[in-house]
Amino acid sequence: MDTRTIKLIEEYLNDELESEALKAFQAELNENPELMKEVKLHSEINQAIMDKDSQKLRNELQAIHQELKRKQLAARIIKVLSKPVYASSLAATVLIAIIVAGILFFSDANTNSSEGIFSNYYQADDAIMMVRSGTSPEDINLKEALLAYHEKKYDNAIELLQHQNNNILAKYYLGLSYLETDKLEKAIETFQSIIEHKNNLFVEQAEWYLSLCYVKSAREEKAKILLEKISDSKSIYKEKAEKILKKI
Amino acid sequence: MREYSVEELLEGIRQHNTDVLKFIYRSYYPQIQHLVVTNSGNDDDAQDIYQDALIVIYKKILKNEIQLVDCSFGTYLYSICKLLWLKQLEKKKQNNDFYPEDDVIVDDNEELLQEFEQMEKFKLFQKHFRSLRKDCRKVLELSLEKVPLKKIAEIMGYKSDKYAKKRKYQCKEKLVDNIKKDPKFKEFI
Repeated sequence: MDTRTIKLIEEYLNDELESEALKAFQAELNENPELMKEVKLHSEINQAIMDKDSQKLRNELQAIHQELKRKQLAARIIKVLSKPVYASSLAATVLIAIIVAGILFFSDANTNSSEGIFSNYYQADDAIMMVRSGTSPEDINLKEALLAYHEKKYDNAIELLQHQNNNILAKYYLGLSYLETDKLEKAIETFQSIIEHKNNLFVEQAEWYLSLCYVKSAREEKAKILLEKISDSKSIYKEKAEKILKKI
Repeated sequence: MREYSVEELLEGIRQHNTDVLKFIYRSYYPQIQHLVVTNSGNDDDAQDIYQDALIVIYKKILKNEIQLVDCSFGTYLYSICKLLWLKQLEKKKQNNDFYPEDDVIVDDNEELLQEFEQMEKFKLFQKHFRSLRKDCRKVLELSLEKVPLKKIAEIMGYKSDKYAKKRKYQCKEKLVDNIKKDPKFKEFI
């Protein structure tokens, strides 16, 4: 297909051909089934491009599918972990941490590309539940808070999480909720306290999200130092940190 | 979870109403998944078929062609999914002993299949459209929206409307080429 023919076809489809040219083209069209096919193809491609509503609906259906599937998964994990056999045992805590790490890793592998470093590399963390089956008010609060986080009710989550001072998991999701609601200063403070605490399983995550807070709040120097540290470590965010470093 | 009447469901689909779409998913997706997974498909196939079927229904709603005579929305959706999945299996030429049973009650199968065929084709075209460069996509969209070339040149920051026109043809040519090169395209000729 040469450019001239493409031009003719497009002009024909756009009603841009004048009387003589139009007649000639129509005559050609009647005799040349190949050309006819080509015109049909071009016209269908145009329709497909303009068929935005269906594409939008498909994306919405896709989002619903993912959201509800995750919820089911979360519900299932809560169920498993609520069984008495796991209650308050160290093994449960370790298992939970492994699940969380796995899910974090998995969700990061699916990062969508969009514009801007922050949106490119930040992805909301799925709160998959891992609450020990305690019945103390604190435990219940935590469970509720994580559900709120999962349902993207970040303000609720913050409300419930900010009093859970000694729980690192709570702190982690508190930091993420601050980040989600653009309370960057508070997010930074929270992630820093996780890092300072040292002996916990969320240091890598906290470092990563802290660096994103710096990127988002345009503190390039701080972001750089931290990202360099991450890219020199064995962090699961190593490669991403390297990529951002190349851009800033 | 609240219940919806058939009319509410159809109207909800027309408006892309999230609550309605979630209700439909929760109420009917498990059966459809079961149907596909127990008939040589996997979860992804099930999801594709479910989405395809809803979009076929959506298009019919927009064209005012939908008729649900004496059957529930769930039955209607299920039978469309079954029909479409059958068609997919046929295409893949898989041996299977999955035939539509007498309970396929969709009366205008031919029409539905045509709509499905066109949707598959559009999906392929849209995929290639999305993989074009951003400026190409924009130029093509603008010209299909009948924005004058002069204005297009202005929006895109091109020197002249002549260049905008040239760019438009180049982009279209690229798109048509890419589509023709796709092995899947042969299925549609």
